[in-house]
Amino acid sequence: MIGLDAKLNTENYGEILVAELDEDRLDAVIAPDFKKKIQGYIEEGRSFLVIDLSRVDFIDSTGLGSLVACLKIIKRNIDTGENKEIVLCGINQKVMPLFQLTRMDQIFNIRKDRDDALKFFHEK
Amino acid sequence: MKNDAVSKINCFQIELPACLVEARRLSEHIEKCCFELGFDKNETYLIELALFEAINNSIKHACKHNRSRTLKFGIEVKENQVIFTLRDNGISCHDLRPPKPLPLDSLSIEKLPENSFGLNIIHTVMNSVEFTPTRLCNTLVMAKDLPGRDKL
Repeated sequence: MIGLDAKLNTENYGEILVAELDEDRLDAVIAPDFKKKIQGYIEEGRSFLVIDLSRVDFIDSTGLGSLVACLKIIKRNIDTGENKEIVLCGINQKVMPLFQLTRMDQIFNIRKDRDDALKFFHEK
Repeated sequence: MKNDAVSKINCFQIELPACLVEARRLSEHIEKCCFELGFDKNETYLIELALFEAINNSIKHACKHNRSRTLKFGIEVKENQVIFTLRDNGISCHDLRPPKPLPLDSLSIEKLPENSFGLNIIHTVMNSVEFTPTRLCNTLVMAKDLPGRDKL
């Protein structure tokens, strides 16, 4: 066994899908399954995704890489004119240094919490 | 820093199979040790992160997720530093120099890196990193200055 399943709780807010990772770690153990599940939502046609990481207090580089992969998947074929977006929210202050150290804080659309993320989409 | 914590941690050593789930348990133990050594929440996370990256690299690249291969991990307090030693009996690896950071500003999203952050994290967080690969054993020694201690 290499990895474990990633538990995700999903909730629909109109066109927006909120996927809350119900784990305390997003690491190499669950990152492949996490990526597969998020990819599944995108392939189902979800264009506006909020990934809620408020329950997560440890992210490693493989977990971060899976978030980058999800961003790349949703932004693929963006030149077709489709409006697609992933927003991250609820990032624990403890794990924020990982985003800063890798400069991924400049790449991702990061919002404080779920309400803030939903507000971003509603104001778009 | 608590002196009793230093003496308790001084000789910590553990052997584990090359398995990521097992590595998670070790990661939790590292967090506890770092708190006891006086590192704050942020430093503790970064140390735990760097060590988990090192362990993950070892399991993935040297041991190829083969559980029959083993990792030996040790924590030792020496003067003003805590020394983390990781040994594996996996395939002798290439050197562990971190890749050059990519110019993110000029990269399209499609070209963003999804991996290779780990080595940069290890080298950024630790004060020194030394990797010695041999035919039978890869040894990675990482040192981190203890908090609130003047250099001796």
